[in-house]
Amino acid sequence: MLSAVADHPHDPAALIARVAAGDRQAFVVLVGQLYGNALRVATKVLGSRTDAEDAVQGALTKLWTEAHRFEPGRGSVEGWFRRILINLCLDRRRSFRIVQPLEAAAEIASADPTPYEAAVAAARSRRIDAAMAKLNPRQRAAIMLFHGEGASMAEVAAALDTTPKAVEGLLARARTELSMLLSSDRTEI
Amino acid sequence: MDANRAAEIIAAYGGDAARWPDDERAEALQQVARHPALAAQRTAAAQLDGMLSAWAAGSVGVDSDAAAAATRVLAMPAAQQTRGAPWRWMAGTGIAAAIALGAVLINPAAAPQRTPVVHHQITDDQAFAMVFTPTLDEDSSI
Repeated sequence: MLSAVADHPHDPAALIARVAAGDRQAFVVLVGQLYGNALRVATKVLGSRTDAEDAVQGALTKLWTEAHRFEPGRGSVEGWFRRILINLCLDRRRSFRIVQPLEAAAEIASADPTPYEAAVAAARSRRIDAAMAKLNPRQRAAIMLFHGEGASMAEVAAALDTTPKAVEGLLARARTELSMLLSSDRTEI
Repeated sequence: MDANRAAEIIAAYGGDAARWPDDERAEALQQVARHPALAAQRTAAAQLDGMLSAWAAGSVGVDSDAAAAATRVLAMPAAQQTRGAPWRWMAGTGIAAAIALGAVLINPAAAPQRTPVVHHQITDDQAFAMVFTPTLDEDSSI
C-alpha cells in the first residue's frame, strides 16, 4: 500500500489510505475528485439541489470519519462512496415528494428566447425531469447509475443494497412507467 | 432462452446490446432477429435510452466548490471527535463497565434493582380528559 501511495499519490485508493490516517490534505484532494459527480448524481436522484448538497455533505462527512472502513479488496473508492451517497439520498424521506407535476411541466413556457429547436429540446428536457420526478428515489437512483454512470447491474445492486435480479425488475418497472408518461410527446422527439 | 426472457432483458437493460448480460447477449440477439415484436421493443427501448442518458448527463449547475465542502467537513467538531477511531468508544465503554463492576463489587446495593411494574387503572372519563384536554400551549394556539 505504501508503494502504491508513493507511485500514485492522486489515486483514490492511495488517497483514502491517507485519509484514514488523518491526512487532511489527502481528504481535500479526494473530495475534489468525487464532489462534482456526487452532486450531479444526488441532484438527479433527489430532484433538488438543496437536498443534494445536504446528502453530499453527509457523505463527505462519512468519507472523513469512516475512511478506515474502506476495504480495497471489495471494490473501488468511487463505488464505496457512491454506496454511502445513495444510501443517504434514499434515507431522505422528503425526497419522496413530487418535485414537479408532469401536467404542470407541460404548461411551463420557455422564458428564454432561443431558436425553435432549442425551445423544443428545453420543453422535452422539462417533461423528462417531470416524468423522472414521478418515479420513486430508488428507481431514479437505478436509472442514474445505470444510464448516467454506466454502472453494471452488479454495481447498481451494490449501491442499492440489493441483488442484480431485483435491480432488473426495478429498472424494467421504471422504464415502463417512464415510457407511459412520455408517450404523449414521443412523436415530437 | 425464450422470447419472454429476451423481452425482459430489453425492458430492464434497454436497447443497447452491449449493456445486456454477457452470458445472454448472443441468444437474446437471436430472439430479436427471430421476432419482429422484439425488434420493435428494442427500437423503442433505444429511443428511451437516449432520453435517459441525456437526462442523466444534464447539467445540474455544479460549482467548483469541492474545496469549500471539504473544509466544512474538516471544520465540524463532531467529525473530529468520531474520526476513524473505534478504539475510542470501545475504550470508553470498557472504562464505564469497569467502574460499574467495581461499584457493584464494593457495594452490592449499587446493583440495579428490578422495580416492580405498577399498572395504573384510569376511568373512561379520565382517559377522555387526558386525550382531549389541551395543554396551555395548545390552548393558546387554538
